[in-house]
Amino acid sequence: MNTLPLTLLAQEAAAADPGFWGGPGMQAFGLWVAVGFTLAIYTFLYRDNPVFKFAEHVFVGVSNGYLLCYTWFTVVKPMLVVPLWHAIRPPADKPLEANETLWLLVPAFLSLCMLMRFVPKAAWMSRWAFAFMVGTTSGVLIPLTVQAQIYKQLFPMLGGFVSRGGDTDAVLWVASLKSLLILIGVFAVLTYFLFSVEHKGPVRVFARTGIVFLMIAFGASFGYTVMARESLLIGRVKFLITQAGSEGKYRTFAMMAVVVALVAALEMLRVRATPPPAAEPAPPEAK
Amino acid sequence: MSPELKKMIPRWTVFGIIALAVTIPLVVGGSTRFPATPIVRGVYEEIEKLPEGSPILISSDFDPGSEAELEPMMNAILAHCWRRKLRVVVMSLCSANSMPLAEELVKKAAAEHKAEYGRDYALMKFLPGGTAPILTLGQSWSAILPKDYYETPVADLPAMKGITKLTDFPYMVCVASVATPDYWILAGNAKYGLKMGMGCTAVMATDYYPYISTKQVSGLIGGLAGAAQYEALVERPGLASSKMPTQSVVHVTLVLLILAGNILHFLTKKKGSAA
Amino acid sequence: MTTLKRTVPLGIALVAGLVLILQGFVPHPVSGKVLTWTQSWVVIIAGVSILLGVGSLVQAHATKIHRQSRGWFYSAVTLGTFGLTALGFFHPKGIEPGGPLDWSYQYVMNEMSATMFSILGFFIASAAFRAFRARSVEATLLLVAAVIIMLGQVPVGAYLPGVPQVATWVLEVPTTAAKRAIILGVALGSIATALRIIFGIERAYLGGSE
Repeated sequence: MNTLPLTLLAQEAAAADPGFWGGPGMQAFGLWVAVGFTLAIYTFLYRDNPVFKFAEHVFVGVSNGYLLCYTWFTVVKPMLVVPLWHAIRPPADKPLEANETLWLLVPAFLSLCMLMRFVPKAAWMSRWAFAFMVGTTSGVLIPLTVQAQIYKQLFPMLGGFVSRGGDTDAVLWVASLKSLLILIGVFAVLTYFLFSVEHKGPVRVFARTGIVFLMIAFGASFGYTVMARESLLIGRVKFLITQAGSEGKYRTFAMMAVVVALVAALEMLRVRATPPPAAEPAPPEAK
Repeated sequence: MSPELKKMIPRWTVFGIIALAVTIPLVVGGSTRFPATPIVRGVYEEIEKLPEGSPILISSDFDPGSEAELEPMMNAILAHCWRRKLRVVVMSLCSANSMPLAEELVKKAAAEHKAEYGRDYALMKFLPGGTAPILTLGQSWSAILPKDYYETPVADLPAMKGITKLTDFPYMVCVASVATPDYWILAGNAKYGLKMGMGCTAVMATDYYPYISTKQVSGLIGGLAGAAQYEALVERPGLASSKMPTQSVVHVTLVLLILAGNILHFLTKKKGSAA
Repeated sequence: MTTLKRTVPLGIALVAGLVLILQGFVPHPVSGKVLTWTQSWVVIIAGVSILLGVGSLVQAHATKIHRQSRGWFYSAVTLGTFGLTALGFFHPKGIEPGGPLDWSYQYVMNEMSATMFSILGFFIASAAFRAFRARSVEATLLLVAAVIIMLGQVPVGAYLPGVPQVATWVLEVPTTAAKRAIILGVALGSIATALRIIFGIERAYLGGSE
């Protein structure tokens, strides 16, 4: 039986009846919370303060609570618990899926070993699971790394840097020069990181060339990083602007007042609680 | 004035300048068209080449922390795929909160493009384990993904018709804010020869340039600027294009701040050495 | 006991590693099955390890509260909000839209996660203003490359003659060369580490001294 229509019907029903948590009341409340926490985090720009710390810890708590539930519902339950249960007690009304086999007892056992980390006396059992993870990952990665990051990166470059093209198969000087520069750059940077040879004479010159390439690359990375961080900031400011007008019920301004008042009050308490700095000791007299 | 406060004033001034540089252009509004570079075009052209009805895999490997940067990119790619009438399959290797975000974004875009779930697109579950899920999917799709995000068997989804393993996808795009493109390059491309393109946050973009000249990756959409270029290619100016004027103002402001910092530094140094 | 605690895990890593290296060179259906099984098990165990991470966090904060260490109040906030969110597990909608978990995802986690990263937009500007100095040739190269990329990657760069072209060249030549060299170095390093793990020379993953 095709179950897709049932999935679509369930989605339609969920959209038609959003329930209490998806209803307009909780949506509006959610926006107040979102604006409040956004501004609370921005108070860190003033200095590290209790309002920021509170928001930060709420974030960690909520994220981990969600992560726990999400991992159970989308990974552990559908990939391990249900298929294993079906493999042990096959359902009468449908054939077994490809992943519903008793072989799942192996990851089930290793998963239990991993969770033994919480039982001090049996914590050593988690080593078996870790050993399996790092062993398989290492075994898989060796041939893949050789192929993708050494062979494919190195050999086309060493195969010749002269590019040809067009109807006459003429040498493309600009492209060839680019390839030559890349070749020089790669070996210059590798030479810079080669510490088993003393950097003097021609090696020093080549290593210095490597630094030039590295510095330009790091500069480019910095330029891109600026773009990334500012893009995220633009995203958040845009959100606050949408919540600042009448459509957003002036949430940004209202929550700004609340957050600023809270930070100011707590700051005043901090200043009062801080003892005044002790008088500076007199400089020792010259003997 | 306390020495602590004295130390904080230049920092707060810079914060204030940046806040203004972001807020004013956003309030003023506007949009900029941005011509695409060949590197961004690399993804666009591969999707253009796919025949109508082909499946395409999108690995949506970002979480809300990078949504502002990658949502416009995802929207532009989805718009392109559905304009080409491709069957879009979305999965994630990133983190537990990446698939709910992908679901939200894809559904929003699907409503706009009148794409129907199951027929025009399908959502898969989040798969942890780095290269492991890719290696498994390359052998057999049903070995770890026999059901979709909503627990519907993949065999019941027309969007998944003919897909038994990873290589049944003629092309895939990895949109990432973490190192998952490395996994796709290692396991998807090197092991199974899966043709791929990628989009990523600007922070990561420079790390993947070496894979373009070797054609391990057909193209790269880097950050919001890359997304704006892709929007120009699909002729749908959207979120990225609308943020580009602000991005320009912020970048110019930052360049001016760096210049000012250097001028102040050299003036102080000169004063110091003269004294 | 030492056999179970030390020899068995080292043996598991050795056998698993060698089998998977060999698997890559054996084009036989059984070899494919070995890859499918082991890797699908890795996916499942990686999923369970997420629970291990969450558990460790809860344990660390609970210890802090129990000992009333500095900042224990904030640990209580973390555990309190963790508990409240985890209660959503028992809601009939689970993680589906319309449930409490989806609400906390939409309005708390999603928004705060985005804000946490965006705050760096301010700090990167402050750091650039205070520390990005043309003190030496190398530092000047770094600065000039950064400025060219910053201007060349946004529409305003199109008004500055030559800047987009230079930005493209910077990315396609020196950046590609340097990053390729780094990729090669990292690849060689990771192969060496993988071999050390398989042959039991690298044992950091075993944890404690026993």
